[in-house]
Amino acid sequence: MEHSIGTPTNATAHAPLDPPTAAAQARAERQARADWLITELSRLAAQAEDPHDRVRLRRTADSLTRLALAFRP
Amino acid sequence: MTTTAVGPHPTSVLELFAVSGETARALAGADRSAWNGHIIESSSAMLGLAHWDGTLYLDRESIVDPLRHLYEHAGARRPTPTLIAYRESLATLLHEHAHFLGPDDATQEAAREAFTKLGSRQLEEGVTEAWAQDHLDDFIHRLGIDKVAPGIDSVRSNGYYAAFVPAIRELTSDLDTRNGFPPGETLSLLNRQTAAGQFPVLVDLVYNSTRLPDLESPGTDTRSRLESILRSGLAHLETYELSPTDLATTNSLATAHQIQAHLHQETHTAEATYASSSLQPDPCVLPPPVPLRCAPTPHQSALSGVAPPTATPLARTQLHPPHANLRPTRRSPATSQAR
Repeated sequence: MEHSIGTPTNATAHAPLDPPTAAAQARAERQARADWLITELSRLAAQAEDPHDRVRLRRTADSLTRLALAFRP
Repeated sequence: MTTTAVGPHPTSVLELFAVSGETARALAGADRSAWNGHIIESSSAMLGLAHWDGTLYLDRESIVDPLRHLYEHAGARRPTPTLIAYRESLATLLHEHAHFLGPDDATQEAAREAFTKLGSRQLEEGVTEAWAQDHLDDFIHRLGIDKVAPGIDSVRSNGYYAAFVPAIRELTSDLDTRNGFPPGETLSLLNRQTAAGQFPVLVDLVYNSTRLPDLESPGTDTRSRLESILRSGLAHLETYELSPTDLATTNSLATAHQIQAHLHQETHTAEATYASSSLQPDPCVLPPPVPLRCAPTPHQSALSGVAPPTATPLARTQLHPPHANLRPTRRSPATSQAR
């Protein structure tokens, strides 16, 4: 018998997962920061009255969107 | 949007997009572009995106519409703000194309993975933007846009990524000087790489600008220490990403100077280690030291008439070749490393 996502209910028990490595944790933190910054930049760009500032914030969002996509192949 | 083949100079926005990728690649001198020829007009917070699947996303209102307007009014005189809007759209187009560039053996998958590493985004974004700013007029001329929008090459607009660009300009221009390159060469070399190749090239250029290649043998960990300094220093730049342009510029430059100081300290320490060890005489190469002529001790005077038990004057002469051989011989890197 399987769940709808395909995980067998009688799967063999495994040892607890190892704690995340420092590199993996750093990567997760960078990914979370990128996501947060994209949201923040979108909000700031929407509120910006100076057109140059608006473009500046949107260009920054471009870079972070590229990074966020790199984290999600 | 699917682009089409065109003649020497584009006469519509579709033709412009069709030749823009190859024009950017040729301008950069890169082996290849990962652009798949597709452009999607978007409407979101971002203005332009070089997607990892090879698709180019451009904002309709801010990027595509001004370029459409440019060709719809070909040859007409336009006010400066309109010309600046065209320039900024073209700058974004060139910038995004630069993201797709790489050497023949590059893959988007390796580039994507490398882009997530510490400092990679700041390096690539700074290089791409600085290079695009420096080559925008050439891009415009190659595409014949200066004929379509007269005066576009005489107006100027501010660039972006002020948190990254000043630092990258400072680091790359310093490497140009140190390596004897013409101005802009380091920036161009980095721009031809994907994120996977940029740090190795940058570290090589830093390393080769020092005396270390002549002093130490391959296999030392100096390069990894230099890379670590560069990565952590460049990663720090994102601290200023939300800052106003002036503040970001100031802090970006200050960060570059800190990186340079740290690199100098690291290389100076390594060079000093090898330089000092190379000045020490190598007992395997040098003959024994020549005895100094000095006043004999009372003990020596008392024994002055007694012959030494082993060495004869002839043997001593043979042990001391001409003084030319006393010059310290510089130890080879391999010998130094073995110690």
